[in-house]
Amino acid sequence: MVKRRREKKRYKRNIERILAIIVFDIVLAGIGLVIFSFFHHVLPQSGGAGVALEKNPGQSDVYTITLVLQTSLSENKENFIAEGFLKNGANLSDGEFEMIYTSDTLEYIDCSAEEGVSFSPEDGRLVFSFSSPGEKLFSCEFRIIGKLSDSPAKFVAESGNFVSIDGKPVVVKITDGTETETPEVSDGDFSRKFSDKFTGGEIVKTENTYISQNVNVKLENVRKTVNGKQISFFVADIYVSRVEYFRTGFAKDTYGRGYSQDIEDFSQQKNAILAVNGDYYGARAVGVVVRNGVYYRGDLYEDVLVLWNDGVMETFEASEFDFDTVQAQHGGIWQAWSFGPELLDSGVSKTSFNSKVIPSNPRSAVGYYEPGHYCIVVVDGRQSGYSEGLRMEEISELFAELGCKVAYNLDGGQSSVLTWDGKLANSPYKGGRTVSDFIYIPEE
Amino acid sequence: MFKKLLPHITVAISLMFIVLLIIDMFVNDAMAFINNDIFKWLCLIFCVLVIVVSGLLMYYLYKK
Repeated sequence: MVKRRREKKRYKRNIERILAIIVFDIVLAGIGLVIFSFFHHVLPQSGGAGVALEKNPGQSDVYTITLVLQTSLSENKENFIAEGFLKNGANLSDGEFEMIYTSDTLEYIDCSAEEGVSFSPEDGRLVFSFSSPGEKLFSCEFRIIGKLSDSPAKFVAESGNFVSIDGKPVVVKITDGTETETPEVSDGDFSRKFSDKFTGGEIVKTENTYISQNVNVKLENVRKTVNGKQISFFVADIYVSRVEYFRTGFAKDTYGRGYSQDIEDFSQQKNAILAVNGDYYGARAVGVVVRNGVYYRGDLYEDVLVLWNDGVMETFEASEFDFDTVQAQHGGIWQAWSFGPELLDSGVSKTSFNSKVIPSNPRSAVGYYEPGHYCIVVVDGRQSGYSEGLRMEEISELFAELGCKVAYNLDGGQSSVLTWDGKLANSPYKGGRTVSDFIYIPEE
Repeated sequence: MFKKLLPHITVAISLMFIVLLIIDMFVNDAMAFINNDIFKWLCLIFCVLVIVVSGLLMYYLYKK
């Protein structure tokens, strides 16, 4: 009897000891996770002072010119014309430039060079020499003689002593010879298109609007019930005279992981009328990052949002995104973000998304109506009685109701922060957090 | 003392891995807890610890 009691006591003691060890290990793991989070989220992991420079395809010495061919052309062995233009006021310095093509697939017919441009055709390549050329560079006719394996087909233009081009790629557009099927590429100037939206030079500023000769921003706070939830969100309707006014900025003006800044600090520093958090690129080692026309990173992460130099905005699923192809379109990339998911399918709301963060949350997202006209939506959330946040399909529906053609989810949760005239406009969860990058509209 | 602490550190790191993997797989992969240099270093430390702990265990069993 006594022996059994002793055994029972020993057994109990052993159980207690094992539990103590388990608790000790869990506490140790917790401490480890706190240290991990500190190094992962707080301390800079790379970069150091200054901008981390990587090769910039927009400014590199090798250009890929993508020719988008009509399907009928490749089927019917028709001729097509490749035309070279300098867009967006790019300044091409004197030099040479090679256009290489596959002679198994394409037969060279003829080429005419504009003033300031000369060329010499060789088998499989055309060498162009420039001496202060105008906007139009050349017009070359080819015949498709073989099956095009790639769609779109590619010409690779290699540098030679081709010197500089102001960071803007040469744009080649393809026509069927009648120049009717190729959409006109805008040069990113919308001042005439939206002339009624801008002033002649004066600045008109109210509590929630800002109109100057280059930007027109209106901020609206909407409170409503969505699917039985109380919601408060902000919609900023934005017109810009040039795509350059749709700007982004890095925390502490530095590209690199681990840098973060308070949005009010940032807005005041940049004199931003409106600023919102970006995709928090700094939390990840991958994900496309192009900001204000400068390429920083090209590795894929998730869905990508691209704003081109001509003001067109489009979302891409990671699987269908090819940087070189996208960079060669619409005069080059002005901004690219990697977070997502894309929220609309050709202007129609979606029900399935390339994301795991589907439940109700604070959200930041950007929408697109047409070149020069955009919107930003910030939804407050996780605050019962005030605003609970939106599910992914609910914010998708919201953008469809707003009439956007394209919409894209940015970093959300505690990162969803918005300022108007340098001051916090929304009520972020737990007061918000410092973030690594921002989208902003500058005051003049 | 160090020998006694080793298995606890190994267990703690494996618990950390479980938490980080669950966050990455099911909660929010945008946090990028897995795809980063710190995680890779932690993996290396974990592997070294496992080798050391396993070696000590094998030695202990052999002696016994």
